[in-house]
This record gives sequence, structure tokens and C-alpha cells, in this order.
Amino acid sequence: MGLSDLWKLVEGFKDLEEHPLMIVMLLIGAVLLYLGIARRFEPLLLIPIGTGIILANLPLGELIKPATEGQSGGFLWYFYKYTLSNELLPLLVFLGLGALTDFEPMLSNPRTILLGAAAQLGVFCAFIGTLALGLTPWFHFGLKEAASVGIIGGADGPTTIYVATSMIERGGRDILGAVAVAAYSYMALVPIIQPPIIRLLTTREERLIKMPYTFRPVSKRTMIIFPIATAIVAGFLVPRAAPLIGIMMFGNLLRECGVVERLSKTAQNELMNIVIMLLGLSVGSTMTAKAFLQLETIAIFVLGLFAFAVSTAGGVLLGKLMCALSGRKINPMIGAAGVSAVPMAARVVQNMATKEDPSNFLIMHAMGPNVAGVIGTATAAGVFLALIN
Amino acid sequence: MIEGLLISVVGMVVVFVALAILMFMIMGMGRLLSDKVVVGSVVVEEVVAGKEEVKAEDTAEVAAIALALASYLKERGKALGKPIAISDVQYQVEIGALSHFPVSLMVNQDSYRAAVGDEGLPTTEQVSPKFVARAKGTQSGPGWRSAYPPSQGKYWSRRGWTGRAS
Repeated sequence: MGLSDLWKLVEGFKDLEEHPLMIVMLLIGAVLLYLGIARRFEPLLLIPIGTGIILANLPLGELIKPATEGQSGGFLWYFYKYTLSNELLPLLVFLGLGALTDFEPMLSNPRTILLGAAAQLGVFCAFIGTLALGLTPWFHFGLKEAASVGIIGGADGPTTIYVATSMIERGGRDILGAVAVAAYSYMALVPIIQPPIIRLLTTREERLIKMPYTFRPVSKRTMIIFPIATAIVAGFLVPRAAPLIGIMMFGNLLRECGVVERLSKTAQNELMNIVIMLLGLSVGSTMTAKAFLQLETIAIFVLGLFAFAVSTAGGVLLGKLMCALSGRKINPMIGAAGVSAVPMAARVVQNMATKEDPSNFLIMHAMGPNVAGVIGTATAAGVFLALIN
Repeated sequence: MIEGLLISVVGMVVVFVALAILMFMIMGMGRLLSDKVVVGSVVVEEVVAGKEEVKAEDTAEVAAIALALASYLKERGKALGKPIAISDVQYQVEIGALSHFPVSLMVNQDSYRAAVGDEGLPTTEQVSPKFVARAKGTQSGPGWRSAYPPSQGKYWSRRGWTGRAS
């Protein structure tokens, strides 16, 4: 050991001098940790993502160093390479999501499924908006980047990550970190984003409409056949969405068949928890200063907010139409639950209904469009994957 | 840009069509696979006053009442008369030997066998006060009443177990 080797002990500071922006990324990671821990904004995701950002931006980038011949890579690189870049983790999240989702409110009142479709309006509007920005000299957004940004409007984190990763594979730019953080941040902010839009688009009389809940029992056979039939139908209609919908329906089948409780519980708990940790760390590890600190990141956050707002508006507007057609039997607010932030969006609708009238309970009516929104977003993702090569 | 617009329009249509198909599929499944549960329907049955038929559960209850009455009357050296009337409805009751379990009963052609537990009631001896000659000057012990305190339990009537026996 010579004196020159001692210099290696302070190499980190030398690297900081060369890459001072890493301090900004460390601060961003700390802010996400603060939001997750102190404010409880999506803590399950923001804490691993925040930690991933901090670890990825440590001096020398040892943790994200790719493996080279004869030299192993950083562990975050392995996480990304073998779990995220091949779209495995978002699919496993969908498995857990299927096992956690109760489709009974949707099955007992299938009319509200269409609200889940209308709430995908923001996905395609943000897609066009991103393309329009790409026409300016400051932004370099093409179809692939526009698809990654647009899907934020579905308010579905795993689908957003799935599309963004697929687009990177197809030659798109790596904006995974920005779209993932934007998607999860806005999902956490649903109670703040949605109410003003709902109030703007509905009258007080409409918000006061009561929808009596009549329990229509759904047979066990229906609950079991539904996931199988949906996977088959989706496989034919939107084959590119088949991985997402197929594995989600597999998770739901585990839940509903009632004979594999161990598998169902594992998918809901242990597997889901492991996958979320790996997903968060892997997404965070993509957010290096070079990739994240760009003008385009700000544009992605703005477009994501726009997508969320338009999706909410789309659901509410179809809700208003259904309200008019049904002779004011449908409260248009439940359309806002069509964005797939389950069950946050349905809760927002319920809170708004009870604020207007404490005896008005819409939660069960809002859960239908809410879970339909998950299928709608996966279908929209399938469209992007099919049409953009 | 035009390609983007086209993708958006096609995408929105595909999402609506896919979810509409899903909606109709669920509606069809609901009709085909329902468990035929009718919610909220009320079955109304016409009941002609004065012509109520005696149902099985009624005769079982009558049998229980008849057994209790027969036991009570036997203790007093009497026998139960054949037709017994409860709420102005008459029942033909036949009761077998009360000393052996299970006791056979027949109410309006419905036969029953009544027993308590697997082996029936334990045979109880007639309890009577015993007068023991006490030597003069000895301390008087507790009377026979203290050996048989008043009942602490409840008694059974047709309405079920009720309050403490007075």
C-alpha cells in the first residue's frame, strides 16, 4: 500500500467535485423519503424509490455500475437488468394486484364499466400533448416517449413502468424514472387533484344525487369464470395487453377459486412486498443526475398532471351523460373513480358525496369504474404497444 | 403528429369497445350463471282463518307440553285426559308409561319419543321430611329445609326459560 492508495479513501469527494449535480439528486431522494415517511404519500413506493435515487447517486456510481467482462456490476444494476428491464416486476405487481382486487362491485353493476373507459381520455390527450411538445426545438419527444408520458393519465404505476420499459426496449429514450415518479406522485395526490375538477364539472344538484345500493349477489361461478373469460377476451382483442391482463386475472383467479388460499395470500402479501421493494429500488436506480435533471423532466411532470386532470374530467363527463340518460339516477361523480388509482379515487368520490350530504354513500358504486379503470389502462397500454414499434 | 392523432382515436375506440364487450360479457354471465337468488321478493301465502293445519313442529311442542302436564298430574295421582286443548285447538294425545325412558307419545297421529340425555332422567326417590328424635338439651341442628334450599334456577314455560321461581 502506497500513499497514493490512501487517496482512494477520499475519492468520493473528488467525484463530487466532478459531478456536483449528484447533490441535487440526493436532495430529491431525501424529499421523496420525507414525503413517504412524514407525509405518508405512497410510502410503499416512495421510500424504496427515494432510497434507490440516493444509492444510485452516491459517488463513483458503484451500485449502478454495469457488469463488464471479468468484473461484476453494482447490485442495483443487476436488479434493473434482470427484473425491470425485462418487464418482470410490473407483471408481478399485476399478479398481486389481481389477487387483491375484488371485482364484485363491477360484476354486480356492469353498466359502470364504461366510466372506466372514459377515464382513459387523459392518456391519449397527454399522448398528443407530448407529441405537440416534441415539435418544439426544446423537447425531443417522439411517439415512444409520448406513450410513456401519456400512460401516466391512467393513474396506474405498474402499467406506466411496463410501457416506459417496453418503449426503452424499442429504442425510446430512458425517461422511466421521471414517468414512474410522476405517476406515483400524482396517485398520492389524487385527493388534491380530483375534487376541484369534479366540482368544476358538476352542479351541486348532481353531486347530491343518491344512488341506493342494492346488493346483487354475484355467484361463485361467475367470480371464478370472470378472470378466465376476461383473459381470453383481452387476449383476442388487445393481444399486446395480454401479459398485463392475463397475469392480473391469474392473481384474481387465485383469490376467487377458494382452494389455493396459500398462493392467494402469498401473491397479496409476501410476493407483492418483495416485488415492490425491488421495483422501487430499480426505478430509483435509473434516476441519475444525467438522466433526470433535464428540462424534459419538468415537462413530463406537467404533462402527467394534465393527463390526470383530463382523465378525471373524461370520467365525470361520461358520468354526466349517463346521469342525463338514466333520468338522474347516476351520480356523475362516480365517473372520476374511473382512473385506476384503486381505491383512492373511489374514496375521493365518497368523501365528496358525504361532504355534500352525510347520508349519501357512493363508495360501492364508485368501486365498479375504479377496477374497470385498471383494465382500461392496461388496454390503452396494449394499444400503444401494438401500434408503436 | 397525424400518426399520433390516429393512434389516439383508435386507442380510445379500442378501449371503449373492449370494455363494452367486457360489460356485455359480464351481463351474459350474470344471467347464465346466477344462483337464482331472488332478493327482496316476499312470498305471501293465503291463510284461511280457523282452518289452520297443524304442522309437525306444532305437534312436537304439544307433545312436550303434554308430557309435562302428564308428569305433573301423575305426581298428584291423576291422569291426563285424552284430548288436550291449547289456545282452543284440540289435540289427541296418547302417552306411554312415564316411568320408563324414552316415553312414547302420539299427538294427532304423529308419534314421538321423549327422553332426557342418552339414558333418560335418573330415578328420583320420594323426598319427605325425616323427623329424628333429638335428645333433650342437645343443640338443635339445621332443619330439613336447609338441606333442600329453594330452587335457584329458572323454570320452563311455553315461552321458554323465564325468571326465577317465586
